[in-house]
Amino acid sequence: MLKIELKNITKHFGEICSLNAISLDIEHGSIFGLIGSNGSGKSTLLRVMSGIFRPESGSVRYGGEDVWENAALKREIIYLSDEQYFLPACTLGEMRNFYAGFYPKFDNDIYCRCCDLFGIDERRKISTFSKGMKKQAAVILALAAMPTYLLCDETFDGLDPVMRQLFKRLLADAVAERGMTVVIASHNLGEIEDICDHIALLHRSDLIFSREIDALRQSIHTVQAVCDESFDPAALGLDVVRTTRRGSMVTLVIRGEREVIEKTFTNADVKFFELIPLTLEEIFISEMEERGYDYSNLI
Amino acid sequence: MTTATLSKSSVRKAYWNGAYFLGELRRSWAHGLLYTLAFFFTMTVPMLSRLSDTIGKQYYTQEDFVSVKDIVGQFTIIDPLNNRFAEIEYGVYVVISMLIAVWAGIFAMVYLNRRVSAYFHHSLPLSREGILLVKSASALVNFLIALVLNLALTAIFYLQLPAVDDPGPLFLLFGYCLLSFIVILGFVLLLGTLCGTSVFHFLLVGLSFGLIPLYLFSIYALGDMYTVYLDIGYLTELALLKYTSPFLYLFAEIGEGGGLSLIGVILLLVFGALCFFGAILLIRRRPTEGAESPVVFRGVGAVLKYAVMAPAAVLLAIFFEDVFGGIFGLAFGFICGVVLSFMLMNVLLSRSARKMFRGAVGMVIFSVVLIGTSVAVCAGFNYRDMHALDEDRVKSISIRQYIGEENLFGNLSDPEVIELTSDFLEAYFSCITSGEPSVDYDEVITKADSVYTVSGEIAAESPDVITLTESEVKSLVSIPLKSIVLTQTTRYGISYTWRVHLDQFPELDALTTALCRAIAESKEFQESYIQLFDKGQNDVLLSRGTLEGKGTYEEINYNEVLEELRAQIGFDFFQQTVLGTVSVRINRRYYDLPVYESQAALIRYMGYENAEQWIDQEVEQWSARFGDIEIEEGYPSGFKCNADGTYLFRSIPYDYLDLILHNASNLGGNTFFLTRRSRDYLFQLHQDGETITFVDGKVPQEIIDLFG
Repeated sequence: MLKIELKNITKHFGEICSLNAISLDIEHGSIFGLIGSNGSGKSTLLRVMSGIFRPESGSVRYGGEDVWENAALKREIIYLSDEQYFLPACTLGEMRNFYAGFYPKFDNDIYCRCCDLFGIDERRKISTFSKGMKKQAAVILALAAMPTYLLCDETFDGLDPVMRQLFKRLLADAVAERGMTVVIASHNLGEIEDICDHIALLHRSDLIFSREIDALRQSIHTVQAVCDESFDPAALGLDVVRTTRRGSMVTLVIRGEREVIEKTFTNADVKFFELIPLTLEEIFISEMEERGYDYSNLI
Repeated sequence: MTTATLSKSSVRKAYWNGAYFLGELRRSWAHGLLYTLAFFFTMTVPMLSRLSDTIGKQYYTQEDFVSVKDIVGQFTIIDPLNNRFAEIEYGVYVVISMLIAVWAGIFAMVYLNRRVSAYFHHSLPLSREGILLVKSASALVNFLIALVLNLALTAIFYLQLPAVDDPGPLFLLFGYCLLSFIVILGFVLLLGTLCGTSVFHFLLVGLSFGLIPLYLFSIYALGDMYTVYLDIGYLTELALLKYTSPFLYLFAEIGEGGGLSLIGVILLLVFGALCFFGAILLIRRRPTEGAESPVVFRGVGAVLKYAVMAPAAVLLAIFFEDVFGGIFGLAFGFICGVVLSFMLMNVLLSRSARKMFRGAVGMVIFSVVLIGTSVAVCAGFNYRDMHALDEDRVKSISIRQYIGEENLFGNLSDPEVIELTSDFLEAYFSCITSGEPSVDYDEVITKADSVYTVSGEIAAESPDVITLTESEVKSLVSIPLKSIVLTQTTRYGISYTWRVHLDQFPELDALTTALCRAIAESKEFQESYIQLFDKGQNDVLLSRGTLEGKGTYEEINYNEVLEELRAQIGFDFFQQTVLGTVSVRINRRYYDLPVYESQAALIRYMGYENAEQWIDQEVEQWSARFGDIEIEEGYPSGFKCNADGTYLFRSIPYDYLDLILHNASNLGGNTFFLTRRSRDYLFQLHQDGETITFVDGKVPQEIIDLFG
């Protein structure tokens, strides 16, 4: 079993708690999304997972091996930072040599293929690249290094839609062909939703949940119903997360099984109702609202 | 889908990566070039210049004279004569090596000082220690390439210099440079693990270089404030100073001293190794997220802050005490020093002006502690003033007479003089405790000039045996004695010095006069050291040294008295101590060898019969007598000529040496003088009543006209 196990990871920066007893299991060969509010600890968690930060407590294990100062294990891990770093005054070709010196499985064929796909000239100084091209360069190097684990921090940011799709396809191929495990932290929930099969939500250094994305979608629903003014959602006995009323139209976000909700509304005193699936962004907002992280509280 | 497997390795930690190391070397080529150029322009080019000087030298030849080129082989045997050409100034290269080490050390740690860079490097499959090892090794290799390349080039030139057939000094130079580099690199790496920014790393290196010396300076100055007056120059007598920083130690031992002992080398290597392993240990514990913050480990910032505050407070207290005077100036300066340095360090550490007063309570507590310590230190200095020098325990007196750049010294144990010393010290302490005199700064400068010319000095070798150093200059020339310097040297090598201006202490002045007279009149002093002459005798001697000696004596305008004095002392000193011997200083010890009648005999003695002795030992100073000509390489390249029993003393450039020796060897009983006029050097020969004068090997027309 080559899964990633995080147990009780706690990390402080001075007096600020960035990660509070986070425990996660990430299955091998999955694409795992980390979402969360700003400052929730996504990037910190990735840095802990990549062996850059040492947690005050807890452990990060890959296939049972602790990652901290474990060079043999780190040969299988690539961390793609949100801010790319390249050696000063280097070309992509020089960076390729650098990576090849560290990662024994570095594949020149993949490297050349990716360079062609992204249209990057390896002889050009990276310092002359645009922000998006630098990100592409980092992606090329990361994929060519053939890691078993790829940790991406906001990697989609700065890539144009075409390149984003290309990157997603390459990731999907790598996962399918050689069982690479990918962890992606991002604010772009649409991108996460497209590619990830698991998802974890972080908020204020705590882990809110970690679930399969399909199961998550099945666990929360929007119900639009036409009813009288006397209709009381609380009387339904369901886990109602949010209620919006406009005249006789009531919109409810309800947590629970689809069948149970449908059955409840069928028996309820409503003239009409309809279940609408939630997007990941809507789920995120709902979960955040439940924890007081609501834009209406901020304005 | 295929199943991936982890490549298990028995060695989880990686301490080395060859590809990374080679890549680092390639990427730091510009640094290697910088180091190479630094050595090239300070080592190789000067050595090439020396070689060209030697090769291109135009020796003066005259009919019937033997050319220097004919006897150069013989001079080659006499190593000291050519030693100056072949001299390797280790100190310069030690300093360059240390500077390179500082640069390389800071550069090696730069990757830790940007977050994005630190994250990138620490995500690589190489341990933190491994990264440090690779970067250190890369810096070392760059340094070695630069050093070896330049040493190889230098060796080619060096071995072609006259009198050089041993590349030993170059190997020694290599060892010194490598040692300095390794020690300082380890030290800078250790400091680098504490810092999260390059700027602070640089500051910390600077502080570590100067902080402890600054402490000693401030404390020493604080104590000195309660004595007669402050003289910063005394600090140079602090032998302990060199132990306060590896920079100072290396420079003091190799640059200024005679070289490192084996124990010194071992201690330095141990120190460097400890620093390096300390850096290794700390870098394992250093949090990566500390990048871009001034100090990484909690507590280091506070230590640094208070370490800077202490000398700042004491120094400003002294400064304002000097400006405003009294307790008000002292308190004002102290508060300024504490508060300003506290604010400055807070801003530097927190990088925010808003936090400049953070920890104000600590500042107050620290101030109280510092005041208490300072008072205790001052009390200690006063206690030392009163008790360390015990006038009842004086057992001998050492003589140290400063005449321009010359000094004579020795020990006296005449009971009568010792008795007077006791009286003098008693009066001296009484003067100190009666209150400090007000001394105007300009007045001090003026007096300091006088002191340089003629000074008396009292020294104490240890608390148990106090020796008194004194000069009776009054009886030599009519210059009033302006001041007395009292020095106590402790067993730890620290010299405490007080200076007393006699016109401020009439009582002491009278006692000093009596003491000087007693010293001058003591039989022991007269027999052992200087024949004292009255004014009439002085005139006779000076006239013999100039007019009767057929030389032209031109006094230097800036200090007429000094020149007269110097000429006379040259006569006295060398007539009694050098005449008839060749004095050679080897490894800080003096050896007196017998003077032979002819140059050939001297060469035979020094070269042929004792060749090994001269080749193997480093000769630091020499003097010799050729026929009637007495020559000494002294300070800085002094030259003393004797003709018919009369001596003059002048300084000349070393380049003239071969020319002078050449002519001296052929003049036999003829007179020979060297004089200086302004910045030009005149070389005058008197042969069979004829005077020939040369300037830089050529005889100027006006000189020929002058001498007819």
